[in-house]
Amino acid sequence: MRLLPSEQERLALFLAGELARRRRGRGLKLSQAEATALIADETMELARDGLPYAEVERRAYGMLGPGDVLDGVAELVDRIELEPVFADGPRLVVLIAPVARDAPPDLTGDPAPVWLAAAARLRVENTGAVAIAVTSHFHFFETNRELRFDRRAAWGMRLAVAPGTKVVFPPGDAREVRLVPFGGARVIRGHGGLVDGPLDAPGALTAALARARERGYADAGA
Amino acid sequence: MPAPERVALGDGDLWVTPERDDAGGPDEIVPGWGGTHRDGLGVRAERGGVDIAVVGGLVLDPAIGIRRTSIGIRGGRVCAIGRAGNPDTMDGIDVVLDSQTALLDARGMVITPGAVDSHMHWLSPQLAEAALAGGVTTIVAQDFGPVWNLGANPAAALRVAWAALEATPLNVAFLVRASASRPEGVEESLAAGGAGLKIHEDVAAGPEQLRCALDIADRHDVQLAIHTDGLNEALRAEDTARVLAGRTAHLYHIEGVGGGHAPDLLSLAGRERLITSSTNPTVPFGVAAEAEHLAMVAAVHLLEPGSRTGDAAILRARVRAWTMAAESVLHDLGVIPILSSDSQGMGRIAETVRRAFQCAAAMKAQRGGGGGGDNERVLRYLAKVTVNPAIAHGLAAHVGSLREGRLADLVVWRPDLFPVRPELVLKAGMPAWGASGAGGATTMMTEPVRVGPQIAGTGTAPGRVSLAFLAGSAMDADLPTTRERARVSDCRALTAADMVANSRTGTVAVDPASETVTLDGEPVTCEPVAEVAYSRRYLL
Repeated sequence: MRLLPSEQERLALFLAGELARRRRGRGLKLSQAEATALIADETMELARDGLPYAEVERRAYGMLGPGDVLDGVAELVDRIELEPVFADGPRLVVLIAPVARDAPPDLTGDPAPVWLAAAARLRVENTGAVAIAVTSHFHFFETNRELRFDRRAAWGMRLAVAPGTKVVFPPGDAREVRLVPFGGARVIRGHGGLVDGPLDAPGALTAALARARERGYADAGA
Repeated sequence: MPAPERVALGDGDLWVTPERDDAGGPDEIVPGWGGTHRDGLGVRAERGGVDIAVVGGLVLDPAIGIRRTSIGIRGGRVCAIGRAGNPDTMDGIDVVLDSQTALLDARGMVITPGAVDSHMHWLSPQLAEAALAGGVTTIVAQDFGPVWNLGANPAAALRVAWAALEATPLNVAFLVRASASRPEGVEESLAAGGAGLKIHEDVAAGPEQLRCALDIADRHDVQLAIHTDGLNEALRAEDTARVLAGRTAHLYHIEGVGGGHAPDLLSLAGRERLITSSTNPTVPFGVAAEAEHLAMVAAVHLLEPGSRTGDAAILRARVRAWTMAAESVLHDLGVIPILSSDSQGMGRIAETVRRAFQCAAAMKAQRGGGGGGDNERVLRYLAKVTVNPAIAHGLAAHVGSLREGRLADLVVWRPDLFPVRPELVLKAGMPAWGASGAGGATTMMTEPVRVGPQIAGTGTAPGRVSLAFLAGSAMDADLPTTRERARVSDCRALTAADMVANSRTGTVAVDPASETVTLDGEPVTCEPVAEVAYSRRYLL
């Protein structure tokens, strides 16, 4: 056979899945490892049977429900990552809480930003042709030059949103954002390349505004 | 910032609440696409940061407390604990991240110090895998394979043992056999690569061996671990205490089924200068513990009950449900400060940590407490498998806690899988063991996800991330090891008061006639546990 490591891994999954199937056949409720193994093994076989990706994913959520597992196990099986071999090769399938849920979660919703306590508000317009996403700790003063806002008002400020949040500006759109000042020593390195130094040094803002003008940054305050 | 929420540890009804949160809030470090872990944002552009930062985990550490925080590591050791980030743009930064700092995102995870198993027979190489997968990163070991030794000696064997450990990412301290009434051989073995002494009745635990070993222990500042005279052939329990004469020793498996004065070894618990420990199959006391031990004692100690005269009698005297029932309670009261495995010599190294928390859960269920949360109980049981065994064997300057200066040996757990399946075991800050999936897949966690070696567990890395604990006389020994050498110290003046969160002393009376155990006159006993936590809900 000249088994490859991936095939030996498949066998480990099969053995664990088979043990779980037999235990289930004896009427036992399954543990975290058993439930994971059974769903994984059966899902791999759906692809082998020739079902398309969406159908394999859909059926994976119907294999076990909370009544098939020991108390608390539905929550323990929070995520299973698998690579069933489809007709077009192995493809990653990620199952989110497949015991507790009947279907894949809806990944299309994009909630509005939650603003934290802010020091300033600013109207920002995307004058360009592509969407621009700005994150919590980026120096807002030196964001993409196609964003038009009062740059001076954004000096030393960042978005008042939780870390990891992205505020997206669609092309042609304008919206109001809220800002908070940076803490710490207030030294900016990197970011958009307009500052590279202490925010509060004499002349820093003037020099950065000059650089912004030179490089064509849109500025509603200019 | 909202009040920190309590976190459930697995299915044991044990809940911990952070005493403080150094990690959340508006300057939280969030790695990934569009996060804050970027040059100039949450990461300082100039150097000055730590080598490795473990950020945002819920740290459980008997010496630190329960804090959601970040750990900075430099040179393999903890160098800072607190808020992580970039001091150029953030206030109150303790753990500086720079553009060269390696980051481990531990948000949502529980972090404990790597466990220290102070009673380990290293009978086969498979033990190391079981230990690491159980969250153990330091072993106080005897033996070097399936030989009848009850120590790690003589000198030639010790050298081979150290060579074998080059591929194993565990810190190791070897105890040499001190069941000897003359010191020369023991001291020769100690100087050849040992870190402590072991007396075992199967190779003699009489008064001469005890006195000789105590003198050696005092001369070299190492600990003496004792499996006492279970036959009561030369000494009764009280006689052993008299021979020890107030000199510190570590009494193994103090309940007694692991070996030692029958039936009243447990009466030596709760004393000022006797550091006591349990081995794990009796903790917590379970419904099948007595039956299992009748089989286990005979299997491990080469008895032939029913055919060889006396074997059935000594076996029956050694296996006592009523002292087992007292042992778990003495743990809950903090009278027995250490829990260890006795791996493959009547214990399970894979369960050193798990059994501690199974006992905590069982004692909460039976004895109550924890109305305001279980922080105190959780730290008490954690201390039994981390800082206390480290203190007892003179290792505490290096391991057992995540305080600054200690080796960055830590275990990252998902709270809902704690303490059954670790996510990652760091040795000296480097990933040495942990969960990972199919090697050829697009993600690291594609099934089958198994707990096994990580990068620092392979190649020649294990020696670089692990310590060789040695007695002072062995620090310059000619050993085939690349490990950093660490001298054991501060072993001889220890008292019960040095045992973190488990320093209760008192008079433990063991009455064979009524089969009762009392602590300062109050009965101590519990019901056998029918079903333990942290077990069937998880395991295959």
